Amino acid sequence: MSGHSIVTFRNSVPGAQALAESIAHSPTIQALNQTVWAFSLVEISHLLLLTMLGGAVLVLSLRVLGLALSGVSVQDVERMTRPWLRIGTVGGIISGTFMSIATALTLVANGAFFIKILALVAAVLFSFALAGRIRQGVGSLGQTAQGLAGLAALLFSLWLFASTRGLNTGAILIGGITVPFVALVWISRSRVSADDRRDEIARLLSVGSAIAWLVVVVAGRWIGFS
Amino acid sequence: MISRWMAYLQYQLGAQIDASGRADAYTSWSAQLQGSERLWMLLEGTHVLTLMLFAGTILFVDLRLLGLTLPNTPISRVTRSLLPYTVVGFVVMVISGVLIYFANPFEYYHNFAFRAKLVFLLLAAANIFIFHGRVQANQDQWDANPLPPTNVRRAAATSIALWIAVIVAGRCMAYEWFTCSKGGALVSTLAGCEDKQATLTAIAKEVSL
Repeated sequence: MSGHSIVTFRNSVPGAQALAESIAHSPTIQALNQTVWAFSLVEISHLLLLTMLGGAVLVLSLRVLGLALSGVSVQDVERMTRPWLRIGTVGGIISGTFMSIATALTLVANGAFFIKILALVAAVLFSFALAGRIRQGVGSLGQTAQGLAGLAALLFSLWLFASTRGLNTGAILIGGITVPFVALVWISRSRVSADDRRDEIARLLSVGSAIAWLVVVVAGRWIGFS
Repeated sequence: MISRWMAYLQYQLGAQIDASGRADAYTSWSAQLQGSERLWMLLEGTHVLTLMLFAGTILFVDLRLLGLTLPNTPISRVTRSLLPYTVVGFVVMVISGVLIYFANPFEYYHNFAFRAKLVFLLLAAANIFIFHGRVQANQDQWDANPLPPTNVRRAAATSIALWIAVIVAGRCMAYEWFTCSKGGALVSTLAGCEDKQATLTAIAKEVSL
């Protein structure tokens, strides 16, 4: 199945290994690693933040696609989910950074971690582009660039997930969710109101953001498996 | 008795009998499920993802019940629209959760965090029944209120707190401090570790571990 060696930060980013080593050998980090309860608290927070973030992304995507809260305006749903999306993203990145620093040497050589960071870039770009589009009501060059960069990062992360030995079960899970989700969006096209169908770009961005965040979560879980 | 039954599920159900006439614990269905790398990963991954579908959608229903979001949208419109996703999330979550439990029933049964998770789940279920039975009885009167009555908000806050507790306890199941091998005296009592030891002694003649 695997035609290429596992892509990690160690073998694709010059200096990553040296950085991870210097982090791992610093006395502060070594002291931190002795404090097991602190690491556990951060892990628990990371999971809770991810739950609220996932909920916010899902609810907004479902609304844009006309699959939920159709009586409420897209703008209102975006306003409702915004704080949770922001707290989840920022808090998730802070707690995630803490966890990464504590386990830098393992992660720098971990294929799933590389995929997760790549998908995270895609997810943040899609979410920003979608929120911007909903708030401003029109497209801009910046949004198009964000959307295209997000698409490139997402496709690359999906390809790596599917083609890396030991990780492709994660790709099966993503496919098992993405295929029915996209089918649902497609089938429901004729049932959602004309208003909800008008902005095809927003619909594409919301599908992209839902899938990208899905990859982030699955890749995160697969760090532990690989 | 439950401990003995869980040990049967984990070590004996489906297990082959070895030369000494005892069940080979490594061949039980439970052990096979845990050893089936792909299926195991899929189950765990699915369980984490349903959290977002389930708890993530409940969060926004509860926020509306608390009067903290969509003040101009009737509560029934929010719940009717989001609850189908919550229910699907819940069903998949329970199925994947039961299968994950089946991979290690005896160990989980004697894990304090698992017991705490079950208690929080029961409390969350009780909260839902009370909400449907009593609090929702006169929903027509406050359905469109930007700020619902106190008992409605209390139920929503309880719901958020309990689901957070369920998630935290679920995550804690992976930490050794809550198991009989590493837990302190309190954990040992609450996780029934004496009971666990007694079961292991009792099955020694029937099972090779």
